[in-house]
Amino acid sequence: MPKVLVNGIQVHYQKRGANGPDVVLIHGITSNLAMWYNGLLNGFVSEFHITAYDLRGHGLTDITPTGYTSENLAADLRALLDVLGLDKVIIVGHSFGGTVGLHFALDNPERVRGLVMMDSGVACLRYLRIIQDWWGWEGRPSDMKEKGLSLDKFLTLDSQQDVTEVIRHGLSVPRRAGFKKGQTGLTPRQQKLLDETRLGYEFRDVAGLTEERLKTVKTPVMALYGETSPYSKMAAHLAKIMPNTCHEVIEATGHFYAIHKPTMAVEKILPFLRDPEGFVRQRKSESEAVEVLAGELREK
Amino acid sequence: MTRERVRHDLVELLKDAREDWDHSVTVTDNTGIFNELGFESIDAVGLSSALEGHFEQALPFPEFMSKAKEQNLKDITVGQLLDFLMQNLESSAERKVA
Repeated sequence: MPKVLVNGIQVHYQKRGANGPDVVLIHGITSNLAMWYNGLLNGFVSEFHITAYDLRGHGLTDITPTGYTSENLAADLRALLDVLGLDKVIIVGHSFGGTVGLHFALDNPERVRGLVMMDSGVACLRYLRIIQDWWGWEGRPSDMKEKGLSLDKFLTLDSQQDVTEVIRHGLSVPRRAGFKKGQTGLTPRQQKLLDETRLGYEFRDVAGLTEERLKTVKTPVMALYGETSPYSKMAAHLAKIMPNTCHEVIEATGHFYAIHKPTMAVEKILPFLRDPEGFVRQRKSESEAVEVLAGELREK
Repeated sequence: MTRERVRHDLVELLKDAREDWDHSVTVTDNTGIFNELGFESIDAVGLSSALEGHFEQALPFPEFMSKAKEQNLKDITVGQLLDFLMQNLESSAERKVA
């Protein structure tokens, strides 16, 4: 399988698609690049040249004890793009994958034409996240309770910097879909990742991605969030403070729409990929027009 | 290439894809790769790369996987993988791995 040496580790990647603009797909924590094989990848391959890869410690990429902050993983991405000869890309990242993309865009603005943040949380804005809205909690109280995790205990664990046990609980409940429906989602690889690394601590690190720094993002960003996502408020705030960002919503779905609603996700994302700057400009001017209209109506 | 020959190569590649392969398992066309052979989706992606390397051509594996998920299949059997290979090894000889 295709692997390259990046920052001292073997990184697994897959390339697919046309001779179009380069698009890089980044999965979230404890996931891997197979998440894109549900129709999302297919939705992009006729127009774009897609590179998907497994983050450090994930999928078929090597595991290391540390190196899981957004800053570390953005450095891995830069080295990967250098090795693969990808000069300028559009990044599509799910959950923490979008955070890595954001960190990369801040560190390397000249390398990024656009960024799609698919329901991504940013550590410095955790105060805007509403964990009670988390679909995984909402739909799983009985699963969690069986494992001795009440909402209060969950919130206590979640408020800490090290959320290894929260992740372990989340993965341990039976899978709700897929080829292994009903079986535990905690695979031996994920077990190893949680047992032997500082992932659960480091991915919550602000790692220099402060609110002040977010205000300097020049890259066109589509913040695409599920309607019932625990990050909805965060998304609206990102669109407010990041100058070139539009907030888009996928109706009637939550944090994992990338997995459960791939067709809807592709429909929303494709226009952005075709012209990131033009797309954001148009959406911002539309929302400004709506605000002006709303203001006029209020005055009347 | 005959179906029997492709089947032989496929089973060898399945074994290579699993570090903890159980050699007591008898693989038939009805064997499910996820629930019986213990594959995860990422192993299947790794297998697709091994197949492309072995047969020296690109295969529409993402389409195959997403179709299986759309159809809510409970598993992908060795027979289904074999059908996929026979169909695509015959029809896409001109395609090369990127």
